Amino acid sequence: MGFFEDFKNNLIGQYEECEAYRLVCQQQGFNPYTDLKYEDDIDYVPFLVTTVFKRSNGLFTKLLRKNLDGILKWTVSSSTSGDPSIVGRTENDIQVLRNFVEEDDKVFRKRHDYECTFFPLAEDMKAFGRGEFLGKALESYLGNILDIFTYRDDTIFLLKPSQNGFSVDVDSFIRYIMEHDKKDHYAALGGSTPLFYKTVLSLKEKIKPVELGEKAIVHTGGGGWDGRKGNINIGTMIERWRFVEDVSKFLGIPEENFTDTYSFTENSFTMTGHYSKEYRDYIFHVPKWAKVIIRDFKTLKPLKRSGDRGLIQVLNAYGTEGFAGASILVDDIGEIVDYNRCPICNTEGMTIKIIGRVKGTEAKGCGATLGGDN
Amino acid sequence: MKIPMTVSNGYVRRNINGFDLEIGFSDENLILNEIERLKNNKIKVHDIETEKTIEILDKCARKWLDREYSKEHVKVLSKIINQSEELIYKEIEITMQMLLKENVKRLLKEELEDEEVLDRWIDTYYGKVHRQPRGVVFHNVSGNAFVVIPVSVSMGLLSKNCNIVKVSAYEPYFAYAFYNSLVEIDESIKDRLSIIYFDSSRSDIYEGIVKNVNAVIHWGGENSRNFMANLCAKYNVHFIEHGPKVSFQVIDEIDDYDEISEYAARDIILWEQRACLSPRIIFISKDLDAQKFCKYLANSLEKLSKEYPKSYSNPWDTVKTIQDRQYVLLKHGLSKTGEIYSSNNADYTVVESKVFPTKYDVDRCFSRFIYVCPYFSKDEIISYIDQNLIGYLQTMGYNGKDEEFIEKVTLMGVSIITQIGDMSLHYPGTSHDGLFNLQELTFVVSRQDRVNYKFNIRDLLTIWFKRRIKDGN
Repeated sequence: MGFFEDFKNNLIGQYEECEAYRLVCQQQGFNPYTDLKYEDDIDYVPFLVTTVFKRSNGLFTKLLRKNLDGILKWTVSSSTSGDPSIVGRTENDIQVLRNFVEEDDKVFRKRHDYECTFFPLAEDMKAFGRGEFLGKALESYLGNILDIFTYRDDTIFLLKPSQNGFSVDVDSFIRYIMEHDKKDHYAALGGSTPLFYKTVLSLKEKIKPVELGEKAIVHTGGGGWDGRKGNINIGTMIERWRFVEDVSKFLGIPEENFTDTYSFTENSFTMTGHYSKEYRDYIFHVPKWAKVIIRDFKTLKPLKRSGDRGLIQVLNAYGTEGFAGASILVDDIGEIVDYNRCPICNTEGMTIKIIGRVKGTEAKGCGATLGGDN
Repeated sequence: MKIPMTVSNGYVRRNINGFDLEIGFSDENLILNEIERLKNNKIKVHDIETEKTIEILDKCARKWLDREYSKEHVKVLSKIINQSEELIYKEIEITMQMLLKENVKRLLKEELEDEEVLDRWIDTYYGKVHRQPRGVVFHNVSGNAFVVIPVSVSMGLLSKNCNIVKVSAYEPYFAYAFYNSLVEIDESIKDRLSIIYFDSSRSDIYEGIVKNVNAVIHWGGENSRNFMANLCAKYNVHFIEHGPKVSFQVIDEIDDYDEISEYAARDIILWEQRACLSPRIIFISKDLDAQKFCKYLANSLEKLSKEYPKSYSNPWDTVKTIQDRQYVLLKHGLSKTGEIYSSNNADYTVVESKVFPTKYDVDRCFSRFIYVCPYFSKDEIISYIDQNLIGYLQTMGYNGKDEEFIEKVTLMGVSIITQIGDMSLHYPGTSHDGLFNLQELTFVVSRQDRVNYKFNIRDLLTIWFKRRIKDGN
C-alpha cells in the first residue's frame, strides 16, 4: 500500500487504541473513518504536541497504544530543561526506526575509511540515565539512534563517560585531524554539533587549520543548534551557515560535504539534509515513508509555497505501534524550500529548512505567575 | 531602533519578538549622578502648582488619544509586546483617559480629599494640614502591560516628587516615548523625571539606587518584589508594592448570557491577560448553565478577536497556547472533569472545569486562555482563594449581590470589585492594591494650633496624669 493508505490505517488504529488522541480528535470534530478519505484530507488531521509527552505532565502512559506488556522500552529525550519527553516503543517501532535510519544512511552517508565522532558509544549513551519505569527499561532515544548507526570497528568515539556525564577527548580529535591532514583520505567526522563546534572554536586559537580534503565528510545530528543539548550549553545559538563555514575553513572540507540529521524523540523517522552554499543552510529531504506539513503560526493552516515558514507537523504511517505518534506537532520552525523536489540535487520529495526552536517567555510583571517567576 | 533613554553610557542590543532594539543603558555612576541632579531639584519641583501638572498630563493624554500622534508609537509597541495595533489603540484609550483633567481632579479629590493639600496648608480643626512629597522616587516598572507607566509616572509627578524610572528589558520603549511627549509639552519635566535602563541582574546598581532615594514604587513579579522589599527594609526606604497579583470573576446571576459573556470577554482580551487586573478564572454559580456560558464566552471571544485580533508576531504565543490547551484538554478530558471550547487556531481557549485550577494551571491563563469553574457554594471559592491566591489578590469582577461574600473576599485581600467588563477600567480615585498612590507618595504634615476643643489632647494628658497618681504609679 502507499503512504496515504498506510497512514490512514495507522491513524485509525491510534484513534481506536489511544483515548487521549481520540479526545483530541473529538474536540476538533474529526473522525478518521469519515474525515480521512482523500489525500488532501491529511491537512485536517489533528496532532499531538510534543510537550504532552513531557515527564512533568504525567500523561505519557496515556499516550500509549498498547498496554504495558506490548511495550519494549521507554525512550527518553536528552532534555535541556530537565523535563524530558518519555515515549513508549514496541520492538517493532524500534525495528522501523532502524530501517528508516539505515535507508537514510544509504542515501546520505558517503564512503568513509576513517571516522571520528563527537558522540559516545551507543551503549554508553543508552546507559547514561538508564533506569526502569513500570517494569520497562528507560533509555536515551539518542542512544537508540546511535545504536542503529553503522559505525566502523575503528571509529573513534570522542565522548567518553566521565563523572559528570561525558567529556570530550580533544587530544584524540587533534591526533585524528593531524593524521589525515593533506592526505585526501575518506575521513568522516561528526556527532553532536555544539560539542563539535565548541572544540573547533577553541582549537582555532591554538593550532593551524588543516586540509582534510574533498573526500572528507562532516555529518552532525542530535540537534543542539540553539547551543544547548542535554546538560551541554555553549552559551550561544549556533547559526548553521556559520558552523559550516567555520568548520569547513578549519578542517579544509568542502561545505557541500556537510550533512545534518534532524530527529526528535516523539517521531519515528530521521530526516537528513545536505548543506547548500547557495541557500547557506541545510536542505532537509522529507523521506518518502513520511510526510511533513508546515503550519501557519496564525491560522495553523498548511502552507505550500516555497519560502513559507511555520510550525513542523510530522505524519508517521509506520513505527508508532506503541505510542500515539502518527501525527505530531513539534515546536520547531520549518521553511519550505520546495514542495516537490530538492532544488540542489533534484531528488523528488518535499525539502525544508529547519529554522530552529520557537522561543519566548511571558513578560514578567504585576500579573502573578503562581508557580514562580524565576 | 535606538531608545536612548534620558541618560546612557552606551547601547545594549536586544531582539524582542524578532524586533531589533538598541537600548541606552546606564552604569551606576551615571545613575547616581542623575539621582543627585533630581535631588537638587526637589525644592523647585515642590514649588510647582498641582494645576500645572494636571494641565501637562491632560495635554499629554490628548496627544496620545490622537491616533495621528500615537500611530507610530503603536506600530513599534505592537512589535515589542506582541499585541495587535487595534488592541493597543484600545489600551491607550483606556490608559490616557485616566490622565484627562477631569479624571485627575476626581482622583485627587478621592485620594486626598482636597487637591490643594499638595500646594498649601489647608485649614483643619486642629490647625492646618499639608502633604509633602517624599523626595526622589525610584519607579521599577515591569514590561507586561504599559498601563503601569502612565499610572506610576503621573502619580510621581502629581505628588511633586522627582522621579527616576527604570524600564524593563521586555518592553523598554513606552516609558521613554511617554517621557518625550511630556517634554514636548513642557521642557521642565526633565527637572523631575528621568528614564533609565540597566540590566536587571545588576543587584549592586539597585542597591546603590535604593540607598540614595526616598521611596520605591515597584511593579513586577515575585522575585523582584522580594528583592526590592528587602533592599528597602535594609535602607529604611518607603516601599510601595504593586504586583504580583491575580484577578478573577465571580458570576452569581445572569440575566442575559450574551451580554455577560461579551463583558467577560472584554476583560480577558485587554492586555492579553498580562495585567494584574486581568481575569484568569471565572467562578460561576452551579445554578447557572456553565456550559451555555462557556459557549457564549467562546463566541464572544471569537467576535472580539475580529475587532481586537491577536498579533501573532511571535510564534511562541501560538505554540504556548496550543501546548497548554492540549495538556488541559487531556488532563480534564481523560478524568471527565472538563471540556474545552476553543478556536481552531490559538485565538482563544475556554476551559470549563469541574475542578478549580491548580497554581500551574492559573499560570497558563494568559493570551485569551480562561478557566470557567462552576461553584456549589461561596465557601468553595473562599477556601480555594485561601489555599492558592492569598497575597496575590487584586480585582474581582462580580455579577451578584452577595454582600457577605464581598466582605469575606475583601477581608482576604481583594482590593477592588468592579462590574464584569470593567476590570480594566478602574475609575479615578478607586483603591490600587489596597492603597492610594498619592497618599503613599507623600507624607502628611500637621500644624497644630492651640484650639478651644472640648476634649483636646491637654484634657487627655490631665486625665492620664491624675489616674497614674491615683494608682500609685
